[in-house]
Amino acid sequence: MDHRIGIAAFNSRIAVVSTCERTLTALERFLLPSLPRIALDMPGTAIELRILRKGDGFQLICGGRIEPARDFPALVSAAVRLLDEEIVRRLTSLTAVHAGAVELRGKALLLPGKSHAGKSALVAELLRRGAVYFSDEYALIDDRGRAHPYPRPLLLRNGGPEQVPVLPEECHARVGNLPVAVGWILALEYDPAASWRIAAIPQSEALLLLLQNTPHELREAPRIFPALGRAASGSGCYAGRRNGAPEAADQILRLVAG
Amino acid sequence: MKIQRISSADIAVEKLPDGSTAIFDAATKTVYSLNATAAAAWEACGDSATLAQIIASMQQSFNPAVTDEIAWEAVSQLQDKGLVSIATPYSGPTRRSALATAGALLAPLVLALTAAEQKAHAAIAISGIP
Repeated sequence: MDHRIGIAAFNSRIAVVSTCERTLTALERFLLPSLPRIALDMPGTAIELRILRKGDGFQLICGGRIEPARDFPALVSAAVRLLDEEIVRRLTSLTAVHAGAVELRGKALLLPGKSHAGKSALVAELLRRGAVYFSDEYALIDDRGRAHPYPRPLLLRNGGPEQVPVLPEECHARVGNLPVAVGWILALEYDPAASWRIAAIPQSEALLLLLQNTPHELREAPRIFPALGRAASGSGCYAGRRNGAPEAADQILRLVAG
Repeated sequence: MKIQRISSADIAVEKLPDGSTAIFDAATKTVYSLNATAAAAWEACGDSATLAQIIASMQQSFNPAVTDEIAWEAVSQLQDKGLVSIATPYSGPTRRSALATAGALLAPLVLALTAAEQKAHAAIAISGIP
């Protein structure tokens, strides 16, 4: 018998389905936990994530993709990533930017960067220093240029190749629940041998950086140009290098304090 | 010598508070970033202007320290990216000498992100793997 969880995520209805109720219950707290749960008795579910037991591990099926997971932490990571892709693909009024995002002093700080750039570790350090959690992976920008929380769990590598799911509460942080204006855009390249060195960049160049980090194609969604332009227009914009996340977090807090 | 901005109904311009400007050419799906110096030159071009008019306009509306060389370098970068056209050849300073004299703070910079480049970045951003 199938057990189900329904989640309303932006303009998507998500059904997470498994024959194992225990697995589903354990998984639920990691799946966009601050977003509303919904009944799935109506037709028209946009996204289905199906979880099967396979030997000692799991198999996930979502959007035509099949992924194995050898244990529960791997199941959480895979489920989060699969749902990310499907949700982002379906966004119509929000623009996703591949960026860590936190709220500081009432404004959003965006850390655009691809995977393996150390965004999650830096976001976690900022949360431990009092920032409000928006996302470790996607900032969602509306047509007014405001950032919305995308409250998935953080996926931290902790020095190894495997991602470990961590809830913001474990970093003593609260999750943002309202959109806020973007205050800072920092494109930081991780270099363990470097010391903190950043320089101001024009807001127009920051807009280009945001366009380089969005999964949306400008050709198909020209609305993202003015939306990201508005995000950049209220921001202090910087690019440079950073070393370890703790030191970079301290530097960011100094920058934000002005 | 007349310098003309490209005229197109497909151009969307975002003037940003720090003086820089972003331009989206919907026909080519290319986005341009003009730093404040390049944006001042772009503004000064209007429908059509001489280099002397552009220099005077940049000095008045942007920074009195703008030199012939800085203005020429800005116009040259705009021309390289296809954002302006120059009606007749100009025998002014070479690009190399212009760059050498343009102070770092006033150095113009025009960047472009083409549709193909943005698409490639988008593909990486959705997969998350560079």
